Amino acid sequence: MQSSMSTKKEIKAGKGIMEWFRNINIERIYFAIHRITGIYLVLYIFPRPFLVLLSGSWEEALKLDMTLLGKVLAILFVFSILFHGVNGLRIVLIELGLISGRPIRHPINPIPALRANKLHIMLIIATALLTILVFLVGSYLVLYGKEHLGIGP
Amino acid sequence: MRASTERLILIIGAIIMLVGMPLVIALAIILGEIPFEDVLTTHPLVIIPYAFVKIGWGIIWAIVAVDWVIHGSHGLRRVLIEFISEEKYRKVIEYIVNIIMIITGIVMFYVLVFVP
Repeated sequence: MQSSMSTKKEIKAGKGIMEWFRNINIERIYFAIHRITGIYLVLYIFPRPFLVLLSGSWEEALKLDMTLLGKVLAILFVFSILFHGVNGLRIVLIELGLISGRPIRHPINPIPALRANKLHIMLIIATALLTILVFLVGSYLVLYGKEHLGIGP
Repeated sequence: MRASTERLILIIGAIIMLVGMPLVIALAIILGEIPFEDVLTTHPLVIIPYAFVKIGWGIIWAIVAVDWVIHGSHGLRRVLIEFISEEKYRKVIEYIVNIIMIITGIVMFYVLVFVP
């Protein structure tokens, strides 16, 4: 009885937002940012088709993106899509087993058995660098880039 | 839905988006449909759909956008389900998210293909 209650407590403790920030390390931080950016992308993209439907044309709907609030939201969108995309690629490579860790067995000490391989460490660094670099360019384009391109000949 | 099926849908959706969007912009530049300077000087939310339209793949853009909705819905469902411990409420969330996904997907496809 007591053991089943403690199991229930453990299950409960293993859920929710606080779980995202438990045992903080670089991969857990990436995991939390991946989730947060994913939620933001859903909140940003899902209302978009309904806005277009209500306003009647893309031109009208895109006017909102050219306001100050729209530009701030678009900058957050650029960051979110970059991080979520690049980190997502890393996760896909892990899931496909292409950059999985290698086991290290220590005869005495109970050290963690799995070590990240070099490619994985490089991808973790590349995720941060790529996100920051392209985010800077993307933010500049959102703020100062051309807002209209004529479609047609 | 089995967790493995869900992962497969998420991964396929992610790969379509990760490969699709940069590929179309690169193709538009290579085919000479968009000058490279325009890519470097235009608002990202303007240039991406413009590239799809310019190389005549508006329908592909609609498919990528619907894929965005599917990927987002599955991700949202996974996040929401983490907060619910009872199976029956998880089922309710699954149904709600699936309904949102279907409606948003249809509206997304409609506005990208039929709204000017």
